[in-house]
Amino acid sequence: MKKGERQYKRLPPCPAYDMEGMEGWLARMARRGWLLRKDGIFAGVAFFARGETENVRYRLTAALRSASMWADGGGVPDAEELDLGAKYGWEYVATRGEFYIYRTFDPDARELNTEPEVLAAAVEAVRKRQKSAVFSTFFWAIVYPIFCILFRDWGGFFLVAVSVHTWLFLLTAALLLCPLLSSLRAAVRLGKLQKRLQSGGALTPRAPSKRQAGVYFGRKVAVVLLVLVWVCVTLSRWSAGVLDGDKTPLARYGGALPFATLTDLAGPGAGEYEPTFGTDVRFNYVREWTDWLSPRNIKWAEHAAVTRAGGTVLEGGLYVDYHEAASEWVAAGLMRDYIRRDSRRWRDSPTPMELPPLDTDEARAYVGIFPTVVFRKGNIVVRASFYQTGEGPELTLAEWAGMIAGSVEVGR
Amino acid sequence: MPKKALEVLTESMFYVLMALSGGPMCGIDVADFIDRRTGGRLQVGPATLYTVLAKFEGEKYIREVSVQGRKRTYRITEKGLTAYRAELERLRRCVADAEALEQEGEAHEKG
Repeated sequence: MKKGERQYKRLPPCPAYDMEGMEGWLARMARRGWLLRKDGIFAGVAFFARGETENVRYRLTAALRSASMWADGGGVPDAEELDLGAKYGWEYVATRGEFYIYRTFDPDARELNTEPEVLAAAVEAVRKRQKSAVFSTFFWAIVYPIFCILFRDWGGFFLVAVSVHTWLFLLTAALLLCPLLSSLRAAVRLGKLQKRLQSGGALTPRAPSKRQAGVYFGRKVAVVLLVLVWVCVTLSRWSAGVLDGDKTPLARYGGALPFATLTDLAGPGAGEYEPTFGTDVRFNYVREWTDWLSPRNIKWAEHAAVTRAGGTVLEGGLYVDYHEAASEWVAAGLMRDYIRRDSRRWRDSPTPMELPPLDTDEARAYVGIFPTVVFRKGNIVVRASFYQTGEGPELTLAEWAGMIAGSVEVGR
Repeated sequence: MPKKALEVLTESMFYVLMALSGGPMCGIDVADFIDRRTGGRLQVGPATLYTVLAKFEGEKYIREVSVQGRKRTYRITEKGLTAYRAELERLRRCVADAEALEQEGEAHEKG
């Protein structure tokens, strides 16, 4: 571009596969005095410059091989194809998606595509690549995440959704669906175009109407905004997790807990309380959050030595995940997910433990790293792990699990 | 139901095979051959010609035999020659049918 030459940037108002829309739009821009610059499409933006626009004709042709700039051909047509095009007055201008854009200033130049049936064959090549893109997008955006959620140690949909917040989970799912739907729409539209061309139908350049362009841009803007929201929220969550900003040290926590803690397990009249790792927020913390599926959630980690009334010491660690779910059905799902996650996380070791009847609707106990109990009481799900290190008398599973289950009240 | 792409040879395809049936050629030579042979009646667009060459290569009707600078030279294969001859025969029959009908019409008028 010459220094001082005025340049005009525009977003194309239609997708790359809309050959008629692109040809019509470029022709409209030419009527307004703007010519697409050589290699003038970059990152989805079209760059125009002032130029001689009389008799200009734009035509698109479907790339028979991948037109990606990383492909063998470097994203430009074959050299001999360029030469033959030049011989008949056609100049290659730019590549958009899987289509090459040519133009001619010669009103008598023969058309670039003279047989619709042959153009249909080129469109078919693009459609086949688009179809394989649909399959690979479907795998990475849908199959792989579902596989991870169900078959790795993520637990399941309820646990993942409540852990990351259901709205963020749904936003992520929607953003993963976007490229799939976009590839699918492209494959369907190309299929329709191919059929029309095979039946002898010709392309008619027509610029997208204001309404069509508005819908196209609206969709693009919505996706960009959603991606920005997703990135900001994910980064802030990630930094809070790394810096422990989402946790409150137990020493500063003054909330009322809906379940028993180490002091309660030490029994009535418990005295001195000594945190094992001091006030380190990594070991003694509470995290509370709300969610659509589970309005109240608490993650509790406590390491301490508590002197019992009789002078013996209860020393150990207690980890509690507490969820007041929106319904019993969600609670049952959460409980199922916890059991599945633990069984996958401790693949060889989750040893089932005998559990006496508790004051719950359902309960399971097993040893992973520590003895663990998961129970559901109405819409409340609790997963508690407890280990003891002191020299004093140890609580049995039935005792501590019973105390925690007894402390949880439905409809509190 | 629309026919499948390249199921039937179009006029451009037929002429491309005709050009290559005479010996190896590059794309520009094929275009020149068609222009010369048809006296400009058939105008094959550059994108159309290259799509036909690429499809024929995919169908093994032709194969690339050399690349010199920016030129790629193609040679027709046995399969391509068979397809060309079959199409030629089909077209001959079409013309023979049409000519027979013409002669019948003329004989009817005289009779």
